[in-house]
Amino acid sequence: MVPTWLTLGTTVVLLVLWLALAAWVVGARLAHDRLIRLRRRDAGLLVGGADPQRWSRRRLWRTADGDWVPGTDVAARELVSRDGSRLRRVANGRGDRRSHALRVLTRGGSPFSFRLLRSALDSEHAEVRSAIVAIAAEQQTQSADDLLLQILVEGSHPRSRTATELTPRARRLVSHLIDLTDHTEPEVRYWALMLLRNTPDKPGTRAAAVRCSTDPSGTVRSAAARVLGATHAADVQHVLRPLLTDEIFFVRSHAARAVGEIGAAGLAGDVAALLADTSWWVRAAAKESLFLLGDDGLEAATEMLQDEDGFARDGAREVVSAFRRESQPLELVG
Amino acid sequence: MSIARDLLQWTVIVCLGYVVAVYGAYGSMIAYSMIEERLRRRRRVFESLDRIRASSLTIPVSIIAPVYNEAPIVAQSTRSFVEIDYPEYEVIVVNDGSTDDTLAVLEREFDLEPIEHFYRRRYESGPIRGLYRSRTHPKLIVIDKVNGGKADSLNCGLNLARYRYVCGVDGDTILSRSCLLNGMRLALSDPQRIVGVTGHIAISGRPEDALDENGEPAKLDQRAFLAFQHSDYLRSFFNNRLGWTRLNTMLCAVGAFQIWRSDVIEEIGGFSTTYTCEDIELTFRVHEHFRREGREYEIVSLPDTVGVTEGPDTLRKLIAQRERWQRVILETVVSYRRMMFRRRYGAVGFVGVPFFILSEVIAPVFELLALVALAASVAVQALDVEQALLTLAALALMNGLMTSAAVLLEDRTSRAYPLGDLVRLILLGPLDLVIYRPFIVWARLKGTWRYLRGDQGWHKFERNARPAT
Repeated sequence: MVPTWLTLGTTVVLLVLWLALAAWVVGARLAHDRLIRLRRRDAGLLVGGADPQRWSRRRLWRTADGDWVPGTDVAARELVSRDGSRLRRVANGRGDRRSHALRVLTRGGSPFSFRLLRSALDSEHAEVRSAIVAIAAEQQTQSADDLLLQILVEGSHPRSRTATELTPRARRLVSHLIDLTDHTEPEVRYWALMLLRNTPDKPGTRAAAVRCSTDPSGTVRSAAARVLGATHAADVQHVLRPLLTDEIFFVRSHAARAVGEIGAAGLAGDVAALLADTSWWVRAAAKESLFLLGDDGLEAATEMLQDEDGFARDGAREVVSAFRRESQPLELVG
Repeated sequence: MSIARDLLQWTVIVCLGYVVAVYGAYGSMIAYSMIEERLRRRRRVFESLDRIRASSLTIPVSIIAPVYNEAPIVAQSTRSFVEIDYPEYEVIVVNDGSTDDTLAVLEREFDLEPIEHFYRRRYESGPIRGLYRSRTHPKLIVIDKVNGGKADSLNCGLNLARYRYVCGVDGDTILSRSCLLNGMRLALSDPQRIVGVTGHIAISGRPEDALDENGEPAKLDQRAFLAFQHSDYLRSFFNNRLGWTRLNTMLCAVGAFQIWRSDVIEEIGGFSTTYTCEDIELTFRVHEHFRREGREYEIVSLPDTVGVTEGPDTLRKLIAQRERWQRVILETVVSYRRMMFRRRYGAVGFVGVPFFILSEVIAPVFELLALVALAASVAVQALDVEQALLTLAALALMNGLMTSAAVLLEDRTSRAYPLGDLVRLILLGPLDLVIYRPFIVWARLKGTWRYLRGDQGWHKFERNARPAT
């Protein structure tokens, strides 16, 4: 049916392909393990004071372009001083090598690096833009801060990811973030506020949140409520009260939580009323909040035990039972 | 006699055509998988999980783990859930009316106390007998409910889940410590678009021993029977699912690790209890829903190993498991056959569903037919023994190639396993056809038969035996 030579030929070709692929797997793994071993050794040598000037380009590249470890920057600086113009050419080019060249240039402190990173933001490839954010996030410099903020505002990379990288530097960017709470785009205002949650004690944060609590966008108002909760300031009760009856459920939910966080006992009744809210998220937040409010929360929940709404009664029972459970260890100690 | 020979000849030709089509499809999918893996690797080179871990902006996740008669492993699996490295998450273990000591083990290991907790009944589920919270691990809630099946338990867990993303896991799966960081890394990059994430699950006879000191999978089960299953999983995840992700036609989020946006689950009405198994059906339903409404979405498979699950360590258990899988595939594909070759369903209708039909639904029939035709051809001397052996060798090497491709893709992502283990998997690749595959064919035929008879039972097999401690 099928000539033997064809079956035999196919089998031999498949055997050769299988052996080649097996060799690829083994070779790639051995090369990777060797690279990691050498990179670790060389980085250790540089930290120990070895002179990189006598090292080959290949060896320097190997050390400069991996996960960041102490010694990486020394190799990158030497590479930039020795090979800067070629690296810049590659960094202006295309493909995978571009991102790696950008990383080495940035780690090596090239004065052109941030200009090159900015121009690379126009790349159509999402992985290049993703690399730029990660490269900038490695650097604790003003230029890196500015670039990351620019990316956040332009939205050239998913804002949630850029904001994640900006989180550890939020404290030193407070004034910029406060400015961004006035930005025309609601998403930018939202992320600025979310980052400001990390700086509740900084001057201006609370004022920005108060201002944004009347924002036309619901997501921005909800972020404002979260910032207000993080401030733990009792004098923002009047700002939170209208948010508890906001038309959007997640604004009410975050406002309810914020009431608990700031310990606004005066709003315990308003929060207890939310146990009868139509949204589960709001009811859940109200329960948490009442628990955080302590005795005032317990009192408000107890009053709701007789409410005509079934959800409110159940929620109130849950809060009261949580208080009872929480108090048990104290009783035992007593 | 001549009619019989003609019939045989045509059968062989049809089977050959099938082989060319199915390996062609696999080959194309491997090519797509390699592109996807390369793109993901290029992004990963620059990413830092440390910064995601430290951020207050990660999206919280509710893990839901249904357990039924998992007493031998439930303590270890639950411990792996509560020790995950992720900023904010909760663990909801749903004891689905176990008849063994599952609940007692949980009570003992995690110091459970009863709680009064009211929840929304968004999804129908069996009655709850009790709710407990762990005194030692506050993020752990245990629900004790009347037996209703896995989908029912997941729906019950969803009723209590508080967060925007839910992660359904199996009670016999040990999750890696970084599984949520890896999974949510993708979701974080585009929460509007990414509605589902799944990842690679490794196989071991004793998953609780398969992680290293950092809580990451690093040890392969040394038994050949388990190694065959491991390479089967590797092929399924790395050769197929990554390719499906590339084409946005990821049709099966695995039950052992499936992250979903909770609003999406709510929109489509939760997990279905009318199918034998919930994971593949839910994935099909999400595709069907979003494509029908013309909305942008993505379901992605991670190239990372997110956990280790218990693989059956006897042939009987393996056949029971695989025949169930075959039934589940048949149930789902037949239910959603309307998606095939309909423009509205795009790549899912033109690539995903036909690929499933070619490689899963009709495969056992052709596999059996090929075997019979080959034997008959030798018997009537239409094919000499040498040719038959050469054909088998060619098919074995094709299988070997696919295993090697999967091992390559896995190793490029994780570098988790020692080189010796990789070589072992590669060498076992061609033997798969003669040692392991016949049992899978048998299981698939059995599954097809049972499907035709309307069997929807789970037929849960016993947990692997463990030395007494």
